[in-house]
Amino acid sequence: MSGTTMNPYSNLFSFNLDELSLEDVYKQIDKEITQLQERLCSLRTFRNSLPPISKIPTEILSKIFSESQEPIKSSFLDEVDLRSRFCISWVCRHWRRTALATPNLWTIISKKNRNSAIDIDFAQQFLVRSRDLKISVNIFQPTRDLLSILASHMHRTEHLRMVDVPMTLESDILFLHPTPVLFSLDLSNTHIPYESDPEPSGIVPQLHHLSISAMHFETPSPLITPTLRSLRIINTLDGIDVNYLLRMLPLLENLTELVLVSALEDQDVTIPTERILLPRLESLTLSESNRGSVFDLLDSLNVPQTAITLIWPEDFETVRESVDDFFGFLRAYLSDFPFPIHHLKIEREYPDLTIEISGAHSQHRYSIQFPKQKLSGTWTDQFVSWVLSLDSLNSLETLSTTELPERALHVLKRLPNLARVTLFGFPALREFLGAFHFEPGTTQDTLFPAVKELTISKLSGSPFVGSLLNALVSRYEAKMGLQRLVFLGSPGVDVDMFKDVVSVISVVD
Amino acid sequence: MAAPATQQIKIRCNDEKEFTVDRDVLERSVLIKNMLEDVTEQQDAPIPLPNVSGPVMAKVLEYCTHHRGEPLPSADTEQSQDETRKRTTDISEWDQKFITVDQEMLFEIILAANYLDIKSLLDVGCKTVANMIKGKTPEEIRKLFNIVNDFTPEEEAQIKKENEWAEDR
Repeated sequence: MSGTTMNPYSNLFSFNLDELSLEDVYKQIDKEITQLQERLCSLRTFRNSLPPISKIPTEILSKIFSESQEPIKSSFLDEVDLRSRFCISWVCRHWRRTALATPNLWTIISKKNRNSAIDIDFAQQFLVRSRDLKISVNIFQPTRDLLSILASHMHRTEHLRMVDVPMTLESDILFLHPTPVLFSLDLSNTHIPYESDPEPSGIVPQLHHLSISAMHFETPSPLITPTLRSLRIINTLDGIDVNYLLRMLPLLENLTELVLVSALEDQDVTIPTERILLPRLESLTLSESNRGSVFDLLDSLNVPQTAITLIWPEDFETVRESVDDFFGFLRAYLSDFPFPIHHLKIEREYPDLTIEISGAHSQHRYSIQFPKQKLSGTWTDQFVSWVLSLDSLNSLETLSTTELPERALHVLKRLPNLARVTLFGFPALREFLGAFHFEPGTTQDTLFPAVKELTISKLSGSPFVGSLLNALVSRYEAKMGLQRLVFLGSPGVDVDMFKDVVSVISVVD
Repeated sequence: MAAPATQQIKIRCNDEKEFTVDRDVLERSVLIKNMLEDVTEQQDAPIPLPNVSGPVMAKVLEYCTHHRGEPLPSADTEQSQDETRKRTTDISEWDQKFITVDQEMLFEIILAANYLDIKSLLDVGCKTVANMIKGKTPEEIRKLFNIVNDFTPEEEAQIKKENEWAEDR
């Protein structure tokens, strides 16, 4: 084969196969492809200059990009949609240039996926693109290189959340630098407690939120500062010095949230002569692992209008060696409960069981949350029955439950103040109705005399729903003084059948 | 006693269309306000506005008339980062209805607001476009604004890398 060959796809060049090696031909073709691609890009760029939006000056386009982003809240760093920030820069070359020159888009350095470390190149790009704006950092398992890079930007770091710092690293490197705008600091370890102590070299004048979890936290600490609105110390290695805390609390008059979970070792607490007033405190959460210190602390505080939550200790499993031990412990725990229980919530989502009890004493609202426990059905029956058999439940006003074991029913029927009951699911309603053993002359005994409002939630999925509702109607026709019946998320329920037995019926999807 | 007569100002657009408007309405525009303050004597000649067409000016005046009497934003128009973060893309009902126009008019209004220095109108325009962008993929944005992908293969490769990283987060 010889002579000049015209390329059918191009009129830009021709070649003679006899004069060129195959490699040269490839090079020529590749060159032309590149030229054509560049030409195509240029044509497309020119086309992009024609639509109405292209008339918008770059600075206004940049403003539009900033407007299109959701505002940042420190506690929701995980939920910030970084992709939407990138998306804008993937539309076309002009938008990309504009987006990269819009610092607001690049102020969040966040990595949610725990299986992959943050890419240092990306972090550096974000730091450059965000110029001198305040930044928010949310990272898991940072490397030393990444910490070194971030350290030189601590002066403009507003929110810092760091999880699982490897023990071989020193996160302290961050705090060698001043932190004049640090607003929230959240350091935690989910696996192995980290022995390093976050100790800034200077003051943190803007710190509003401090959360330290599963780390060493040495006191006194400059992080305990009067600017704090929220202080959360959870599972620190050696606890926190309660007496130091008591000395510092009077200075934290802006505090609205205080969480001390398993942070209080058994200590000799010097109770102050005057109770410490925390006028703005809305929420106080304490764990019950070290009851002496907790109650000493409670005795030392004057916290009007504060919701107090007591959390069951996380080392619950170590207590639960046998059924009897467990119930014995539970009973001891609840029998000297310092307030009447007004609300009880029992929620079983197999195999987890969640129990929350709450009430009010004086001006305070209290609640106790038990961590989710994996218990068998038999356990659940006994657990629920035990909780319901406590004397402090005599004041119970509202019950919300997925479970109503037979033993519990006998207790519930005796409660004089139980006015509102919420039943989740078909079994709970069936068990509730099972309490009404109609025997002539004994009906008064077997009813729930105080219940005025009954909410039935998620009643579907069983072919026997209809007959159960018929039973409900007949029971209420017979004796109950029900005033309000609410169906939540229970499609297909014929509410008309209840119109003669209850005056108010609500249906909520 | 009769209320003092409002001064009427005449303006001329780039298509020779003229409007005679109450001074306080026109002064929503910082550009025109400054022009009027610079002129000490009463002038009959219309103020030329070479960057705005008649139909666009009619829309701008509709906005200014509706918002007349409202306090003007402070002279310090530079927003801090904190203020920017607090900003929402909420637009009042009237403004929303007002700005429901075709894309060409929307961008003309934004340009006019920028030229005439009417910050609140510029904000409404920008928020409207921002709301159009929100939650959309690059391809959907291109389609919306009649834009095509003009990236080079090298740029595409970089974008692909970014995409993988953003997905992975």
